[in-house]
Amino acid sequence: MPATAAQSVIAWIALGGAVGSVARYALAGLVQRYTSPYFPYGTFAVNIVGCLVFGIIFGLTEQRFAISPAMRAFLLIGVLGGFTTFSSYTFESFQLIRDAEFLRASVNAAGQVLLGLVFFWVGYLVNRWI
Amino acid sequence: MHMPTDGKLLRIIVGEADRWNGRPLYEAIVEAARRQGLAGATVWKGCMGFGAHSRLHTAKILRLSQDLPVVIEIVDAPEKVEAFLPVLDQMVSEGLVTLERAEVVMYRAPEPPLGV
Repeated sequence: MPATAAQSVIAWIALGGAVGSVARYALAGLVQRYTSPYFPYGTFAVNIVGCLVFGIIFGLTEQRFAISPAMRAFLLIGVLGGFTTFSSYTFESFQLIRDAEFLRASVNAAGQVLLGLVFFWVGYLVNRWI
Repeated sequence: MHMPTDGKLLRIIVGEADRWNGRPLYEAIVEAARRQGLAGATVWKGCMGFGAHSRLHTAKILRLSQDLPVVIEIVDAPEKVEAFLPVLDQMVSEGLVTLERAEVVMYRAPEPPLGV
């Protein structure tokens, strides 16, 4: 990849990361405001929505080639990289384990992975009906 | 330093994100208390709480861990604590300040070395 093209991709990823991080902050805050403060619903929702959107975009690029490589880097690496969060998920699972809330910790740890896979798959399949 | 048995406990509850002249409010309060010659101050960080807005803050959830409660406690003679209240009035724009009677059982510090 020529240097200018690589720089352009990095710039798109940086921009996408900024958009995704702010979107994560906003959505997690909104969800957490209207749900229980004893379970990390905000991070949970963010990661599941992120998996769904990732599945949709991935399906689009794989099945229809509708998105350019730069746009794919912007959306998948930048926006969704900034939007979804493995570190918050790990931190909040750790906090629940530390407080001996093993059921909530298990639901959070396993639930985000399993529902994430399901919603990614749903997003991937959605392309067939669009 | 001497402290009478009948003291006052001043408790100031603010948020860790509260600022005063560009620095954390709790730090500014401790510094102000020190400048005013109060006997001591201790800062506690709360892991959960809510204030006047009824918005819950908790260290457990990352998104709700901003602006956790901070408690500053100061114990000293009643007149010294009461003299500090106008300073607090200037500094605390959002929070809670309470005052209660405190029976001082011990207040000890090592003697400073000679010549210091």
